[in-house]
Amino acid sequence: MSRTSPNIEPEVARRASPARAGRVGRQWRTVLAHLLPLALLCLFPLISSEYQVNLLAKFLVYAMLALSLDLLWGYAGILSFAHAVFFGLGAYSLALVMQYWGELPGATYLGILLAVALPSLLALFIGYAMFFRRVGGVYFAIVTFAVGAIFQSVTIVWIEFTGGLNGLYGFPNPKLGIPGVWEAELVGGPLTYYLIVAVLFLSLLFARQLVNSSFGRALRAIRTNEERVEFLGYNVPAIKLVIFVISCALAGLSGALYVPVGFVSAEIMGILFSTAAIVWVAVGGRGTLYGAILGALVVNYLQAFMSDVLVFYWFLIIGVFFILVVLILPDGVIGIAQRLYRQMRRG
Amino acid sequence: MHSLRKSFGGLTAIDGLSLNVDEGELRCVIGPNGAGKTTLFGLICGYVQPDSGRIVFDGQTLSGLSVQQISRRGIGRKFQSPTVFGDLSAVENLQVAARGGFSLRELAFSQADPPGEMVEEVLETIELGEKRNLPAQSLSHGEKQWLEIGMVLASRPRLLLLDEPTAGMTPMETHKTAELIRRVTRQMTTVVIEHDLKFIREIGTTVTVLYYGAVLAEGPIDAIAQDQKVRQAYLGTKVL
Repeated sequence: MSRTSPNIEPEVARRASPARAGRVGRQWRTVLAHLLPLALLCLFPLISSEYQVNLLAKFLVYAMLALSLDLLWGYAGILSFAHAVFFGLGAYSLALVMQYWGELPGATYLGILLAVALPSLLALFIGYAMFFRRVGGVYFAIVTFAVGAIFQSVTIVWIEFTGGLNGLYGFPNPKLGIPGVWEAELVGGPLTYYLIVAVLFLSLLFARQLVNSSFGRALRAIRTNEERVEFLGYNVPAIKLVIFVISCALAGLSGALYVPVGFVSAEIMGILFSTAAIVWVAVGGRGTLYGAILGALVVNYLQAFMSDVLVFYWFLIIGVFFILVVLILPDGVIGIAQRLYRQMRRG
Repeated sequence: MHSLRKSFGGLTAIDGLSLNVDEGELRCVIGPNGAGKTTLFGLICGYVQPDSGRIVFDGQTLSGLSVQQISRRGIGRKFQSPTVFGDLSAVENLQVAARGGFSLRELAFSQADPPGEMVEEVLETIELGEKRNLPAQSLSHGEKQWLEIGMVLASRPRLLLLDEPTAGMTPMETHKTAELIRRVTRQMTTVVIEHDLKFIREIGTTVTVLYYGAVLAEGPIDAIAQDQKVRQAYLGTKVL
């Protein structure tokens, strides 16, 4: 005992140090900053109409797609124009499983499984073919553009399977629960909404954990200078492949969540939809996770309010908006918020 | 390394070069522009592959290995112009460097905070402790050079390759860098490329002179400075 006591004192002193207290205070603030928006989201169905709940549910699905894209583009600097393909593949996986085997017990689970597995496999295939052959930057973006175009065309043309531009409808609703014991249908409304909020929240926590790991730091280093990271002994192609697969798996999962709240048609496979997701992330602020979520909500609400009046000009407006953001506010909405916060603290 | 040869198109950058550096040695490589100094580092790191000849490190040949594999064998390189990660803070730069040899699983399951003892030590060595949380792009040129040296140190190499560590530095900074290098290379095999002869005198070590891709002379700096061939090679470009 007497031998250990000298070591205890500095330990106690360190625990009580202001730096440590500051860290604990920050942690509490972080927890609050997460719980408050979560609480607001949970209260939303109590104060608004079913239509509003379904609309927000759909936008939260989009936010999850943006979150997955931010992991790829915002952190690793890999720009993909095929992100909607992975989203669409997820949505079609669940919708088609419901269409063909919808009455079988547990079909929903099979659909969700495929909605994650198929995009992951496709990402594994594309990523392996690209990253290990050193196809990166603009060239990778162009290849994803081609992939997006191919999937979109196939989806439009293969009408008897995909429904083409008319989409899939009339399939049994996905069900959650224990088959034969208790099941709830996902048809929009509060239940679907809460499921989406929960999955989005868990995805955000997962993404936070990922970007705060050494892996996440390596990603940001790759974004700045890929070659230098390699000289430090990192397996850069493998790291890029891993984040690409994770990002696309999340996109696929968000696609599955889209089925009860959106319309599954060739449009969600399109390059236009991929570009929209890129705009959400850019507007919110890339490389921040929260920016992606915020950006998806802001842009989509703007679109919902404005497009009634300005259907025709919508893409023009969003295009100009995007250019302005890139030119004037490269850090997006989150960037403005951070700047305001810093100015406020300075007084 | 033994009879190395490397040409780019019609230009032979390294022409039958042989060079031996002992373990624990600190070696300076000098030579006029275009003598093949940086190409030499590229060859050691596996960034370019030799047309012929081989490089042996620690009893093993490095031929055909990738940049990443060679880095994992313990060869760390500091680049000519600083290539620090501008978006990352100074301490994050060191942390990235320190985790170089990690597998994917180790990367994913190790938290970014807090910096380890070793990183703190390096941070102290390069005297950037107070600027640890600043983004690297906001550091001065000299500080970026030190951070770059720190990054190589943080990757705990067994062979340290420094490409012009004092490029673009003020005399004061150069002096400080020389001290830093002398201090950190005591237990580490090091090869330094340098133009600044004052700096080389200051660290006082064996010098190899490259000229048109081959070794022109080798020896202590004072003997080299007297060498007639070297004087001719440098004539008009540098006063020794």
